[in-house]
Amino acid sequence: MKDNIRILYGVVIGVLVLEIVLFYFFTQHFS
Amino acid sequence: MSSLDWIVLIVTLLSVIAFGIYKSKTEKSLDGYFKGNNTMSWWLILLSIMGTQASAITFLSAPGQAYTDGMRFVQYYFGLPLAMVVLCITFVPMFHKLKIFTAYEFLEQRFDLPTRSLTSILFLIQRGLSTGISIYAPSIILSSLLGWNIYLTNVVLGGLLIIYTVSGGAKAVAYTQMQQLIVVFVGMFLAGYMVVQMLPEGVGFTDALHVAGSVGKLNVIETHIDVTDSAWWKDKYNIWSGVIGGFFLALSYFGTDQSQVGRYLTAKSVRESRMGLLMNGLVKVPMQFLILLIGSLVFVFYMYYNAPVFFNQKQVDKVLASKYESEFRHVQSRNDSLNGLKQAQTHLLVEAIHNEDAQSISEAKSELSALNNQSSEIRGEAITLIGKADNGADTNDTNYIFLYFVLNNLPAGLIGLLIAVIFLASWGSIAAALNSLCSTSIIDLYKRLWRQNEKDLHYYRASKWITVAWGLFCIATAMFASKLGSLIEAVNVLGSLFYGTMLGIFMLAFYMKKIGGRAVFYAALLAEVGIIAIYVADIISFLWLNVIGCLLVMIWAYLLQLFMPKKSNDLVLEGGHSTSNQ
Repeated sequence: MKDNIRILYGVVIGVLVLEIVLFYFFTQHFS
Repeated sequence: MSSLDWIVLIVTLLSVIAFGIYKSKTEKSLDGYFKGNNTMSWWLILLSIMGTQASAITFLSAPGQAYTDGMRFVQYYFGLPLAMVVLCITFVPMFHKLKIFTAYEFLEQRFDLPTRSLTSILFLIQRGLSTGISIYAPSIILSSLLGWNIYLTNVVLGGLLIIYTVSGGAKAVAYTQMQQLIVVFVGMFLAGYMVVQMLPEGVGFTDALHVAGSVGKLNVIETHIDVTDSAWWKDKYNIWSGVIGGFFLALSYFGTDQSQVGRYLTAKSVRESRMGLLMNGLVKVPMQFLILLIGSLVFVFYMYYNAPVFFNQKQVDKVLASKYESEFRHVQSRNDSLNGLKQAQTHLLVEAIHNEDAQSISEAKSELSALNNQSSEIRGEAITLIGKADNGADTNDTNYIFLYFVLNNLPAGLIGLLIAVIFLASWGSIAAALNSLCSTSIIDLYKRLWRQNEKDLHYYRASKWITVAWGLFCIATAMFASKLGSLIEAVNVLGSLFYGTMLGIFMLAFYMKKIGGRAVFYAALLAEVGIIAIYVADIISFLWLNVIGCLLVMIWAYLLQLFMPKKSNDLVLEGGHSTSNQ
């Protein structure tokens, strides 16, 4: 359980970073 | 509104109230009323957290903000997932371990009674006033666009939810929020789908994105930084204020605001609370992105169809009845001519995109951008005339744009559903706010300071009356709320004046074990004065106030502690962090 939650912390931060990168390219692509 | 819209609206609202009453059976105790006997699963916690945060203002103002300012507002949510992780490691296990009802109870165990009472009162002021605004905000828009009586709208928006909030407490709030969010998401999805469907034939979703992007409406990420420029610090939404300021705001809101803490304290276990918060961290940014995207698509829709020069018709009527009528009509006719040019140019751009002609695309984009700038200037002239015609006029029509689009373009039935979305989104956040205002008033003030040794049933009954009293207070605040700018910001600004200080107190509690209660109490007062002074001086964007408030409390407390004997109870934190990874 301890590790599952730690994995989830990593997933949340990883997804945020991925979103920021994707949004950056989205902004560039459509500007 | 047509009869069908009225039927959809009334049936939806009544079914939510009926469901709330059906789910109202709780144990007649404080544990049942405020924590639902700790029976909630993580998915219910997730929906409850989301339903509490997303008010009607979120769904009215965000698309309007995208229409006028583009999508950069989404950056404001970038700090939220990080805050969820920090909360799950630090705050959540401690709150569960101590089996508290409110976040402020923890402060007495860590510091002393005055610090607990001060923080509770800061919360009650902030949450009481901002709940009043969250009733008033959709109410003024509905009354203006539909001609409804503002006072009656305030009563329906802020009053009907009191029925199930009083009878069912936290449990009824959580279950109705689940139902409300389902309706809200269905309504918003249909609205987004309809915008794309109503674009001219041959113009698809990707074309619409290209059009929106060409005039800067898809500016999700803004990385420009020039800290030597004082205007940068006033820039509300860039990636830096979003990640840093947004992180502190989310940490304050979810960690120290009882309207949110009260939601995840209803969970079955630490694990369920954490899962709910972390899932919120995963879905919040994409959800806000999609809501803003609807606003950008509405903007594209109005590139093809005549956009009014100003979306708040009530203000337009006022200026047309004034001595500025002819000037305003002239502005309107120039706007209409420009609309024709914009339509033609948008067609050219889409045609160039279809032909993959890079040269024509570039030319059409710059031409369209120039036309859009002219359009903004004409809007500026219209706003000046509106301000001249009526001194107290609300010259910001951001919050009217989406509903104007809905009322004038969507089919019967869907209009009713989207009006219901506004009501339900309001009810979800107001119900949670009332429940938390009540729990803080009862647990931190009434039970702690006035009547300490009554039976549980006494407090349970008192809680019901206090909920009604707070409901009436918030409706009264809504009645008195006057001219405000962008309403979503008004709520956030109000939060930022207090949240930083409250977060600072909690950060001291968790991370600076040598600081005692008296130092924290005076540091909080000094920091609050400092924050209000900075806000009045208007030298920095409100998002930074959370960061500054938090740091001010911590610095003041550290300095004051050097001159004060320590009188605090640190025992509560012993082993606190060892529980964080359970």
